[in-house]
Amino acid sequence: MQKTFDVTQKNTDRLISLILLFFCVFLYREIQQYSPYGRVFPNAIILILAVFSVVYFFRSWITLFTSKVGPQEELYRMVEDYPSFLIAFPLTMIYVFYLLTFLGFFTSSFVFAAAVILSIKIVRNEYNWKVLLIYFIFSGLFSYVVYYVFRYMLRIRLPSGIFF
Amino acid sequence: MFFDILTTLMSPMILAFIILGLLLGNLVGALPGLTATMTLAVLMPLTYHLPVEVGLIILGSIYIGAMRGGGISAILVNVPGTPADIATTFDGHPMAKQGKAREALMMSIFGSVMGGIIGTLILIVACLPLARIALEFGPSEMFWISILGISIMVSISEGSLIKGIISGLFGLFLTTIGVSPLGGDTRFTFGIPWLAGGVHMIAGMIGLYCIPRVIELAQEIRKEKQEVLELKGSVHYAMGQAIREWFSSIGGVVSGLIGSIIGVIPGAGSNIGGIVAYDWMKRLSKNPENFGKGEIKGVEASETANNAVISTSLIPTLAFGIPGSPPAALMLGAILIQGLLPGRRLFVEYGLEAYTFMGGLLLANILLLPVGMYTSNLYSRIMYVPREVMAVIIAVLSVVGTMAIRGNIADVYMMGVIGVIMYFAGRAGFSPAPAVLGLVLGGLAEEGLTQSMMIASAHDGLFLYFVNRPITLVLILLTILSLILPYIQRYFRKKRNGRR
Repeated sequence: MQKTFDVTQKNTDRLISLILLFFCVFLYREIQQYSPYGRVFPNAIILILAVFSVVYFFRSWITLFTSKVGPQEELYRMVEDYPSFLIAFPLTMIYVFYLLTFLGFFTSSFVFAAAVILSIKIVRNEYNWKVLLIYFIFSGLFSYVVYYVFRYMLRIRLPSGIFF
Repeated sequence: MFFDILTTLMSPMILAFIILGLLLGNLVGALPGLTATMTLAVLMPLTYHLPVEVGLIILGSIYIGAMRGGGISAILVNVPGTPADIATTFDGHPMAKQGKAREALMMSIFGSVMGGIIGTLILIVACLPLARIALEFGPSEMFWISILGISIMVSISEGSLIKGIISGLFGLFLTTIGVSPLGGDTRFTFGIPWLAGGVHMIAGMIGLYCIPRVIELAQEIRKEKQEVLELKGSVHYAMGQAIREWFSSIGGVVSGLIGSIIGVIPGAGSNIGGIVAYDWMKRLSKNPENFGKGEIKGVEASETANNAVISTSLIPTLAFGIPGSPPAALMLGAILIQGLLPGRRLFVEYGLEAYTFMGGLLLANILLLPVGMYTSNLYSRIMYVPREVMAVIIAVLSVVGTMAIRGNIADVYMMGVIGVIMYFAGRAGFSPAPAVLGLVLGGLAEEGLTQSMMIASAHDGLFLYFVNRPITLVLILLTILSLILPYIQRYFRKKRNGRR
């Protein structure tokens, strides 16, 4: 099974430059509502960004025509290992954007740590029950120690959820 | 003032913080995959509530420890813990293979200590005279110094120049989200309530450096377990030998000075320092043919130079606000967040804090000797923490670090969004370093530009206002030079290769 996800450089560069250009147009329209002094700096940034997005777009075409075409296209590796990416990326997003406020810091960190480590170990076939148990206990202990130290010793406000 | 500084530095709390910072830095440096910059980003919020000098001393200790810790994996497994330790692998690993791992490690510790001391002494002596120049800085200079800082980071960042500029502009754009400093507009919030507070500098830095690393680390598969070479012999005997060897020639001092000079040049960084010093040491040696085969002088040169770079890279940061390296950019962020401005005012109005910080760096370098000596066995054993475990630890600490800023979950969301953007952008060849600089210097740049426009509107216009001020003109020229320099270098490299 193919474990990596690659994209061709020239297509990606062109796509990014177009996204940047649309982004610039959208923000430029937004900026016009602001007061004269409030819009000076963002205006300058957006205009320079637009100029460089155009340069970036044309550069991807120029390299297309000037580079010696080889048997293989140059690629960007977006994903190194598909199964691990499909575990780590969505779980990190769910942890940051949802679990923290729903379950609270300690519970969500425990769930996140255990889910990421154990799933990756299982997917890579690097496990036996002892290993899984050790990492499960590690996830709980690590989350609790971080929670206790930062919440009660350093008095840092951490997200609370349905449990605590 | 000297006794005030000494009293502060000798307090048990400061000593404990320095030792803790060094231990943590050593650990981070020894673990390939973790970087000093990322650790500084995660831990910076925790120093936010401490007095500025204490916070900076902790960050400085972590940086010093990480640079030294990189030598452990360079010597024992031939994998540089930080890019600055590449030259250490040339002779450090061959020494370890010959059964002299302990000797190489002790030299890496002593070299780091001596390099750090040389660099810090130069920092203490050179900072104030240079900072006097900053007294002449008005709004236009503040604007252009910010742009120069970003352009330097653009020119040294990996990948294409255009991508570097776009990354820097992205960082600047992030600083415009939220309420504008002049005019009071709420900018780029699009009705989303958690955007109203803007992007906090630290949340942005954690997003740029840590979240992409979490996703990358989880995907990394260690193909084969590399052999960790064993440490044999007495620590004290090996350290004694290292000290004798270091003082046996002027090579160590020369390496320290080379590292210090390279550190002052914004953007040159410790990666180059170690290699240049190694090359010089080889030229000075009576036995250059031994280099690359396990010559202890090679380890001495590399480790002395890369730790000397740390302190002197702070000279342009403290004197002008131009960071010499990505970790120095984070230190600049830590200074700005406390409401202090780099330059002469820092040394006059906050002289005690500034010199206590420098004294703390000196002390951290001295304490590195016992800390490094007695922990080398431990760190050589824990070098292989599974990548997915590291990823989880970084993710959880990133959340804690971001919450520590102002206890606001909005900062965590912002960190997540910036992290996702940076992950995919990083994969497409964009570097986070210029974006961090944009984030750090964006506020100063906006203030400088808007004030310059206000002043210029009463005179001859912005262009003439800029070109009539000599320091601004120099800064503009330096900005242009820093942007075209990579092209000039590329041209000469091509020409040289063509001749070959």
